[in-house]
Amino acid sequence: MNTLTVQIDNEQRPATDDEVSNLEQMRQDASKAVAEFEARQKTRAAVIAKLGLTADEAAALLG
Amino acid sequence: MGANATTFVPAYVAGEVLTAADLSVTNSGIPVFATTVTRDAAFGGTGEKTLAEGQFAYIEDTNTTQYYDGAAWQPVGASGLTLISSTTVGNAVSSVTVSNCFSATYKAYKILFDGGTASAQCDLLGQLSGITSNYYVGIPIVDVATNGTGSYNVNNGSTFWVGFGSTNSTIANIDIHNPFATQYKYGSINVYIKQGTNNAGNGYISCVSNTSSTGFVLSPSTGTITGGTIRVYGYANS
Repeated sequence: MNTLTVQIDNEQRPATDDEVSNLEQMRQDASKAVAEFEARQKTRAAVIAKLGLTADEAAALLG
Repeated sequence: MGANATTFVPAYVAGEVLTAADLSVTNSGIPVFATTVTRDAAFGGTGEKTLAEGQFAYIEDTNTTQYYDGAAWQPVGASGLTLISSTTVGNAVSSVTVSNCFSATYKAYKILFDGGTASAQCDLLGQLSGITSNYYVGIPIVDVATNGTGSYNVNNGSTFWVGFGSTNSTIANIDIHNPFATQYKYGSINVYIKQGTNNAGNGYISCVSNTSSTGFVLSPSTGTITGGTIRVYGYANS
């Protein structure tokens, strides 16, 4: 059962199925972007570790 | 509606007998309207003036005085930024839709949201009304503790970032061009912090769509938001 509440200007009401679907899609896209960011950061950390760089050296090399 | 607000601007005909009420409206100076909707409905009907260049109006819900230039209503004494709408966020809502804030009057807009709280750490997401895809985002990120860098990106998604929220505060600050125009929309998110991390940045947002949009949806990436005010400003064209 949908329990989301949406606000349209100054009025609140339960979300319609279409609104719930749209909000879920927005949240999925945002989560995907964050997950991809975190995956890239992990890869980067692994490469830095493999190269044996210090944090300062990694920052100087990679920004 | 305030005590001086009116819902019509009368026009009289020769020989018409005026009442005290007629004179009160006529002598009230600049007509006062509750909203731009009641303003627009007050002209052109039976017994009402035809809207024409030089007409003034005061709008209660935005506390602004406007004049009609023959094609559109313009703010009086406006600075570069004009407040278009102010929406108070209610209790524990999953999204807020701000309607009818974009129009032909302005090309570019600033959207601010502050004073609220979120039920959990979240990103604040945006979507233009009537456009559910073709959004692109690029936010360079710097870790303010380690100076490490990275980036967030959305490639043809359903949303763009507008800000962030926590149980302490909500912040959104974006600029956007062409939301109403039948052109692609481009803009920037001006302040971004990934709550719970040291990741901060600002970046690029766009919507590759020619569809005209008159409003937008603001939503937390998880949970709900409560309180605070969403303000929309228009950048003066001249």
